[in-house]
Amino acid sequence: MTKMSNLPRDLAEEVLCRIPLKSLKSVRSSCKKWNTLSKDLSFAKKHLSEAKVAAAAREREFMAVVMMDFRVYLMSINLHNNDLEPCIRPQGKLISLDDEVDDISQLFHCDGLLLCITKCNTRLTVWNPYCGPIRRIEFTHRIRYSFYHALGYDKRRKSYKILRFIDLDLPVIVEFKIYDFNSDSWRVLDVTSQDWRILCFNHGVSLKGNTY
Amino acid sequence: MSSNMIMLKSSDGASFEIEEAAARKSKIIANMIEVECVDEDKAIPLQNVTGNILALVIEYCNKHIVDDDDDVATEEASEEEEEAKKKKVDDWEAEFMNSMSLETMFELLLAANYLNIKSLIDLVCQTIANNIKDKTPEEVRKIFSIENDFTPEEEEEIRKENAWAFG
Repeated sequence: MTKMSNLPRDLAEEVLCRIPLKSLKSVRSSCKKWNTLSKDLSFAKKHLSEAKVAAAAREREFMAVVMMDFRVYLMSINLHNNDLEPCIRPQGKLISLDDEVDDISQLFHCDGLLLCITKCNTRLTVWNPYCGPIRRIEFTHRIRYSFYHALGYDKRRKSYKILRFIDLDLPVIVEFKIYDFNSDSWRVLDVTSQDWRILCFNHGVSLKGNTY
Repeated sequence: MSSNMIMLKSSDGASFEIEEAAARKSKIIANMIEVECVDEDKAIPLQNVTGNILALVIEYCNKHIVDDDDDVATEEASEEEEEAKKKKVDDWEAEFMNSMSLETMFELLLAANYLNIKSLIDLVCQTIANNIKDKTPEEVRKIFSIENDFTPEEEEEIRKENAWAFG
């Protein structure tokens, strides 16, 4: 009897890359072979290009991750709809088996990684929406507000880093700390910012791994 | 349109007559025709394809030969006509795939791959993928008769890795 496992790898890949992201989880949990295959870089590229083709077929749609009401949503956006008004449709919302994910206050994006910060600033979570693995970083600070975070990539040390700064008016506390993914540790940055301040509404952006 | 007929022979010895234009959907056969190694009186032997699967492939090719030949005409055809035609083909494809078992789909996919018919590979892959959509790991295993080769620890690890998801 011909089974899926009889298919050569390239054909199995051809099938699996047409499975929507939402269902990949089941594929990965079904057996070792598929778990490995679906995390392969070449497969990821194929999967993304296939998803793009499918979205393009639906009148040039694209996907975006959006934060609303302290929750993270995956939305499909269509600005070129022929007959209808441009529209945004929710495709799914972030769910989690272990964590509370309904109190996300900040979302920062870099290279496809999402940095999520909970409302009461108790924990940072970095999540790769494509292949899953997440990193949780617990907070140890007693101050629970006026924190700002940004995620970036250090090309020299080949490591992702999180920049955190605290900017309090009363009492005046300005502190910069950087978290290194490779060493899993925080380091205080020696930045004396007498001449400039980063205002709290400046959340910053990330472009090609550099954070501004 | 050329109405040359070509003979194809399946691995189990069944012979099929097919129009050259339809047979050209297969890149392999098209190449054979190009290099003129096809003898009009002799059937092309296809060692990797059984008769019942070859019949499906031919059914597919015959259905799609018309669309390609109409390319010139479609330029003048109105958008609605084109859409109606596309819908007709889509409906036919859905019906075509609906009538077969998963096992047949795999065999058809292998045949399409061997004969190098891109559009049929796409169609079959998409149909199989649709079978996996919105299924639990247990269901996926059942559908594809996959053995769960994870240890409980590994399974827990995977579960953790995939704990966050867009649902």
